[in-house]
Amino acid sequence: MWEYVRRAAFSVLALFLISFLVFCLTHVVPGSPASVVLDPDTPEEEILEWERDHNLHLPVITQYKIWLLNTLSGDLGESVITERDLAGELADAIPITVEWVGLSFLLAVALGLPLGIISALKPGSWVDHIARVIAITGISVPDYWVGLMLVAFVAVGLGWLPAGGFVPLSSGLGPHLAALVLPVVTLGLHYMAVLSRYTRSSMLEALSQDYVRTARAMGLPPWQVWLYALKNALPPVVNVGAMSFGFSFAHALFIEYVFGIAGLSLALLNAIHELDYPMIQVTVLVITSIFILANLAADLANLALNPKLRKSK
Amino acid sequence: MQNWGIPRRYLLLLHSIGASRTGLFGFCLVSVLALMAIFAPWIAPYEPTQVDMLNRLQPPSWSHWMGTDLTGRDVFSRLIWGARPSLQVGILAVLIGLPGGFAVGLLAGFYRGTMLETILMRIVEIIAAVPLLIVAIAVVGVLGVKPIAMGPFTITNEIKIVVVLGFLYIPGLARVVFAVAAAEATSDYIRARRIQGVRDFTLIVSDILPNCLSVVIVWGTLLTAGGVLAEAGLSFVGLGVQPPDASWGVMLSEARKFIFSGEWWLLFFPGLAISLTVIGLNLLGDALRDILDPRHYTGPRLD
Amino acid sequence: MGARLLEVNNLKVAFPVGNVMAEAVRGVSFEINTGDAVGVLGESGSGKSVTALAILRLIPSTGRITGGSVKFAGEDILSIDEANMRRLRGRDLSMVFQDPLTAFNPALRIGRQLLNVIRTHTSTTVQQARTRALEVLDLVGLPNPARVMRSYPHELSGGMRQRALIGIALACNPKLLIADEPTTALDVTIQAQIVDLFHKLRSELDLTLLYITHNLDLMAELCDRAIVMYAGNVVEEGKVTDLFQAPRHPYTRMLIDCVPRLEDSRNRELTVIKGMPPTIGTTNPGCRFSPRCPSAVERCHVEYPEESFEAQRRFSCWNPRL
Repeated sequence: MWEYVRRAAFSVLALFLISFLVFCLTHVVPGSPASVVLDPDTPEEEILEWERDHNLHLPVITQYKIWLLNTLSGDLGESVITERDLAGELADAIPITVEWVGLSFLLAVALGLPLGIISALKPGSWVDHIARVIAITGISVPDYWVGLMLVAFVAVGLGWLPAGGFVPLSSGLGPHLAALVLPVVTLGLHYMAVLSRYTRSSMLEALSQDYVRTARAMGLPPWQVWLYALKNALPPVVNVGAMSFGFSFAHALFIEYVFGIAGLSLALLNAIHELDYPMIQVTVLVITSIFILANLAADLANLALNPKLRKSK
Repeated sequence: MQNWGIPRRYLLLLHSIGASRTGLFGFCLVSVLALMAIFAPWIAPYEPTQVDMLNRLQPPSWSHWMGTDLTGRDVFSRLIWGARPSLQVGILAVLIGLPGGFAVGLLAGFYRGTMLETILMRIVEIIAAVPLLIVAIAVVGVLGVKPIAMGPFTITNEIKIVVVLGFLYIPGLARVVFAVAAAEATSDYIRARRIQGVRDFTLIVSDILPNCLSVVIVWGTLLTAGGVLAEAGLSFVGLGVQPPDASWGVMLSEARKFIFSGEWWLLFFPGLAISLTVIGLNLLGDALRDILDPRHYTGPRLD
Repeated sequence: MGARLLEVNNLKVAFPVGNVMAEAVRGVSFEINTGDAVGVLGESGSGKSVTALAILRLIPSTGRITGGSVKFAGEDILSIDEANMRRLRGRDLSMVFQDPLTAFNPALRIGRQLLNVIRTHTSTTVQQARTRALEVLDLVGLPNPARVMRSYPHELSGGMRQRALIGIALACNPKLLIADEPTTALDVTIQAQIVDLFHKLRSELDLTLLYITHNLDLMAELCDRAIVMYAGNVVEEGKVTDLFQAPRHPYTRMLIDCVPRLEDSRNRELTVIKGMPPTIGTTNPGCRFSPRCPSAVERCHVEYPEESFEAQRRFSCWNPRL
């Protein structure tokens, strides 16, 4: 039990460190945000006044403390560039990303696990070879390229699906889903490849264990033998799966860029391009939190599925 | 076999790679790309930044094998030159992460059970808790894409990427090295050497380190694949190599504007190049792992 | 002396080594009658485990049975289909493996694994199956069967695990139990307990046993007859008492000599058999033991010895000790 509390504590620590790191970076970089926001012609005193308004004259540590306190109490501040409320922007962006990444992950699991399992059960068969080719290709090919190609062929060439953008649910279920198909497939295929590869190797490993031989020696029917192996092969896969889920949030950035989906990751990218430091700070924090949560979930799942890890009575 | 000065081990390794079809394929792909990168100035038919507005957006033809881009630059030449940043970033990032990874892994593994190990591995955990790409993007983005002058050095964008990636690779490498080092450190022959009075440092460097080489080679190859993807991705979103320089990611980024007008060759070839490079590296890494990792041996066992 | 239960005739099993198939079992023949306890004695690499696996048709998929026949209760089990073979396994023909920790599925409780076997082979209700399971665990000497049922394999001690494994093998009243080095992975004190258990099972259930081991003393305790295997061949077979008192084949003799005895003088040097057993894949036309054999003559190296027969004995040697 303590192991997990400790892990969680470290995750939180990591979160703080990251936020501090990014904070420092944004405030240590030569050239103040003022030069980005305000006109180049603004007189000196106005610049200084602007900086004072935004606490930029204080030492970095103090600024960080102020930011931290504000954030923890829920006040995320305003974007320096757009002057919009950061919390509001995030509230718009987060559900979008969660939805489409979640869907692609479901796709990845639904396709990847069976593919990996079948591949392991029939090594050397044509299914296995095809699965392995798909897997290697899927993890190697840049998904934004696949996305672009899909857009070029399916959206532009064939005109079947929209080329991008995000259509909210309120505009109708059909258009909403149609706009989601391509990005979900793009990211989903990539993670399907990752999962199928890992499932295959985990399953193969389980199948080569002694208890599988014993199970066969006891005359258990093949399906039961496979279940025996599967029960042992799944925990590491769940682990990897949860970690992949976390990674995919980071990866989503490229896909959102390609398809113009106004989600969390794209917000980060835009913030970077516009040098909107508070926004950068907050989005990095949110994405990292999701990532850390996913890892924690992976650890907890591990605990639940592996009886050996539980402390015995 | 005459003594050609190359240790027999490495020749055997090459032979084993050749014996596996996928390994061979991967090795060939990687070699071709490496040669492309090294000999770019001599192979490329045109200068990568040579503008020719009269011939812009031409489809593949005999004079331009892969067509021309929006300012008339030859796509094929840019592709060849584009191999450089990709492979450079991939390899250099791993090289930068190596010393850190080795140091942390070896020390933590050798001094297993002590405070040193605990501290080191906790730090590794914390860094590993971070989503690599996000931090890389954030750091590079915030630092800006222009070269920074720091004293006598100019830190180009590429260097920033390489350093950040390399730093973030350390936990992965450290963990892998740690596993081997920890196992070796408790083995009998190390204990015997210690009793002989051999100093710790010597033990670590000359006995344990060589045993870690095989896992590091495998992991390093796979990380290089990741590095190539990362460089391409960063360039794609504008945070890596800047136009007009050639990088596959930049080419994809430029191609984006043209998917609606049908200039498919701008999109297809750079993406293909990235894919083949990464596939090659992954296949090579897998083949190396099968050869070098004794646990994966699936030959006949006889009792 | 009961009916012929198991008849192995010139069994050959080969595995791929590099690009060729190399024989691990090169023509092994022996018989077991109901009620017997037969030992199989040999070093690692002698092919004894592979023989057992081959009888159950469980050799790893890379290997193949390349010759010979195996008849169980009169039926040629090498030619029946897999579904019928599965019916035999665990029910009429059972095996106990060497390492009880890895033999169990670590993710399932013992009870579940035991019940799965019982319910596969017998059509009973769950309740009847549970009763049988508890019965079996009690039979193998486990003190708290209900608790063992609820436990995971890693929660039991080595000795208890092995008992549980034997229990599973016996759950459906097999006609023949093959035990492949069941005590090798255990402490010496636990070994003795398991051997006692086998004694008890033999007398209470009239169990037919094929006991594979490299430990002469254990084999001597449990078995009436034994076959000695070397490098894939049976080199000698006979009553255990005969083998110990008057071994014919040099290899058997040296195995017996190798074990130091309390009665030996303290200054006697330990006997060792020089050299190593041949690795799979190497071939030579003569007797496979000849490179290491102190009584080898010219003929031994070039021609494989014919079998010689005596009263309830056989051996393959050109120059036996008589």
